[in-house]
Amino acid sequence: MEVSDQPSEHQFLKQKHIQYVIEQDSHKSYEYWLSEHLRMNGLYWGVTALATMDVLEANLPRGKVEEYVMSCWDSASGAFGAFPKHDGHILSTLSALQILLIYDVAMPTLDSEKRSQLTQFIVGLQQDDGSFQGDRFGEIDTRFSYTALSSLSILGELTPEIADPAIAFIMQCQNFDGSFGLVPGSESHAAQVFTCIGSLAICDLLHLLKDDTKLSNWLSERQVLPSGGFNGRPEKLPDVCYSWWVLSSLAIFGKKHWVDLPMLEKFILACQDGSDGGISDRPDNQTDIYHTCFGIAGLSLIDHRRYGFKEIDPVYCMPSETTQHFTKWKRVS
Amino acid sequence: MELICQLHSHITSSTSDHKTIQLIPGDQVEIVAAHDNGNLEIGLTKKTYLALFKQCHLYWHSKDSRSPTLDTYLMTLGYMVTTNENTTIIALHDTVTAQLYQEHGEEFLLREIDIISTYLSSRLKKINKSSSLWSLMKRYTVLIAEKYPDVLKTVVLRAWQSCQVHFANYYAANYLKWCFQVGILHREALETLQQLCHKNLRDVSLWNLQYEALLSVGGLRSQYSINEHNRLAKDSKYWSVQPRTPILAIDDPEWVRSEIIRQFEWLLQIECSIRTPYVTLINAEERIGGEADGLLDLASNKSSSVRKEIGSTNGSEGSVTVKRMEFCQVLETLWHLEAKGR
Repeated sequence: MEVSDQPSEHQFLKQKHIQYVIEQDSHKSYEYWLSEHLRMNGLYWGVTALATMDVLEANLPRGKVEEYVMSCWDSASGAFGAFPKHDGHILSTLSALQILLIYDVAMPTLDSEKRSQLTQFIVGLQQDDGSFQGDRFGEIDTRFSYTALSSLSILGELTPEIADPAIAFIMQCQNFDGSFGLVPGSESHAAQVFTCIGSLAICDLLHLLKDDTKLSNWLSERQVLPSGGFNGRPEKLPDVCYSWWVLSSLAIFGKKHWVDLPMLEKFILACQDGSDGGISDRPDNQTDIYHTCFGIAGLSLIDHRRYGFKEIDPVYCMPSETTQHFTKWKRVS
Repeated sequence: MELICQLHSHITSSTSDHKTIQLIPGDQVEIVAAHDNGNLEIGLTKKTYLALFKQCHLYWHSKDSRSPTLDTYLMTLGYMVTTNENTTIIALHDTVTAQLYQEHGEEFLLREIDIISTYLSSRLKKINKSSSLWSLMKRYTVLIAEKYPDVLKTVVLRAWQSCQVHFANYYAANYLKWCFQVGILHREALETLQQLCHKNLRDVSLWNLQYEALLSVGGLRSQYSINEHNRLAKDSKYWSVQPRTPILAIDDPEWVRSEIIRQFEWLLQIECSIRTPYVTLINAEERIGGEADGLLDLASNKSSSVRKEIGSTNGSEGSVTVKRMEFCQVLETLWHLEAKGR
């Protein structure tokens, strides 16, 4: 069924997008193998897109998906890799947890031993200054802080001993424009804003941002005219993925209305491939599963009811229906 | 893995500072290399690029693909030029390189640095902005900064090249920023940066880099970056490196201030109608403890005088006038936002 009561000239091509997502695994071209190291993330993007459109179980049955996820378990590190034989990494680990959780909040395929190993792996990535590295290679980035904190939150293993230094590090990454970078002193970037604000929200420490006005202004300025799409940094072209990174951050602050939502919606819809489904970064470009997921997630943030979508949780990027089942961390003052 | 061997050979057999890998049109499977004005140009057709990947992919999925051999090393190099953020491969490359260094010595590591810096300055848009490759280059920079200054010079030249071939290259600029912040790059590098900024007014990464570079050259080193440098030095798998000491106060604020004003006046002189460069300079002024009022007054005066000039041309609607009006609007918005923000 195509959604018809759209405010713009483009309709949302739901059936085409469903087909696009479920066919991802059947195109075993060079590109498929070139992106082997992103497969777990890719599966999460597909699952989230279908779950948000409320069509997951009918189109991507649980058994085969869980089987794939568990085949990526790296017993040497005690975490999930992106593909069988790949090393465990915090990015693929969060994606794996999100996939398992979306299908079943009890995550029965993860036994207590694996949960314990996962916790050990994640905690072991934290550095003395509170930052997180992604794996044994040792790259540091606020992306890894968010993925670590989100994973621990899902596992119910977040503690003040981990959260407090993690957030102290994140607060050092705030810049003069109110925005955040990947490490202290690095350039502001909208995706890093999401990871930092998301981390604060997960740790129930949003109040540390005493005044979010400057940051919300910076986020609002990401809307590019005349297209209405968001960019990630000043002077850059708009890109559908920032519909998520920017709008989710504003949603966390309760300031979605600071941007022109109908214009953003129009931009996302203009990035759909009318023949084969899927969403691209900008109109008429090649579609991919990453932009398809974040385009749909953006539409859910704009107005999930009108699209018949599930409401999406701006902190965890999963349907709220899923995230309401695990205990959120609350600080006792 | 014939193709990655060929690519390795092309890169390491040339002494050029600039070595540029790029995709070229065509249908044949071969790697073309030629020197042009002292620069090495390496071209691969899409078919060659994919064939190179396939050869390495077959090796990776074979039995002994993690053993510390030259073949494994070459396989990881093949992956690193065809896929980005392949974390398993990067970690394996890091391990194998350190093991082979024990066997082959410093020359081996210097060739490795030549190859990785060539990848980072390529025209392959996912490779030249790869965060993990730039992270690897930071480790190598810690090693060569004192011991191999000529190699460092080439690596930095290539980092500047990366900033030029990829607009607003976040990770290349972040690497150079770190070099300024730990005191590896100095005043002469700032001059190179300012020339690039002048040619790329819209490049937010370059202008943001200038903000940090001005402070660092003025003496204000980043505690975080120094700590990172010293952690990498301590964890070195190669040779020992002395830690660096942070300097947490500007030692020459007047010089920094004069540079900020010089850059700001240049922007006004060319009637720059992009806001980002002004904002970074205003914030640099505030960061060194100054008041931005002086800069905002310069902007306000310039805007008034341009508006007067436009007025005296009887409101002509030519493209020059429209552009000058845009310039005035940027200055006025700047004044309004910055004055309001304080």
